[in-house]
Amino acid sequence: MDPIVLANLLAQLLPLGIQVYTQIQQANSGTVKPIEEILANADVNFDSVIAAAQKQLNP
Amino acid sequence: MRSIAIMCAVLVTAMLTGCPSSANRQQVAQAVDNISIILVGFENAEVAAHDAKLIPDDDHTFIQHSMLTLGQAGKAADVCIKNSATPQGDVSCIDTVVTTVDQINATGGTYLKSAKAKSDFQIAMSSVKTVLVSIEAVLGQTSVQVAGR
Repeated sequence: MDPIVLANLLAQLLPLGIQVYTQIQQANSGTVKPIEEILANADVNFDSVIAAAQKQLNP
Repeated sequence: MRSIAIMCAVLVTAMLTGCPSSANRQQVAQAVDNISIILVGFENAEVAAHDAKLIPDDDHTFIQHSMLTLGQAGKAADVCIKNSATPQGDVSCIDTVVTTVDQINATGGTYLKSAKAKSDFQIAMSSVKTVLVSIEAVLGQTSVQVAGR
């Protein structure tokens, strides 16, 4: 794989790993977020996907 | 991109097994959040792969339409779960997304021309579906139809 592409992919993966790690930490420490907060976070991610897809389809 | 999808699936699995004491409805919400994380990762990776000329334009357009649909399905699931008061209601919300994923995956299997695009896309869809079906199993509400998929 092209090193630039690989670096780009790793740069995108790192924040996702940190986000999941944070969730594991919260779960293990018993400080699980309220459902509304979890869903709100998911909503932000879905909005991000929608916006990115729309940008790709209508540059 | 394949490695991202696989790593996301591994991370999600690790997280689900790391919180067995969470309330079921929180696990449902967390599962939806996990799916949103997978989609963000796949979206970024697919755009990068297309920019690097690894994904043909037609396949890229199809995948972007699919991501748009999945993003909207995810938001609809968010609203559905917020308004649901029971695990059965949550399962119904999740089933809707499972159906959407199945339809998109089936269409992608016949539409996508690039072997790489098809493989990466189906891995990502499988990751999403695995999370959905897993959480239904946790809820103990898995229907015969879902279990048979």
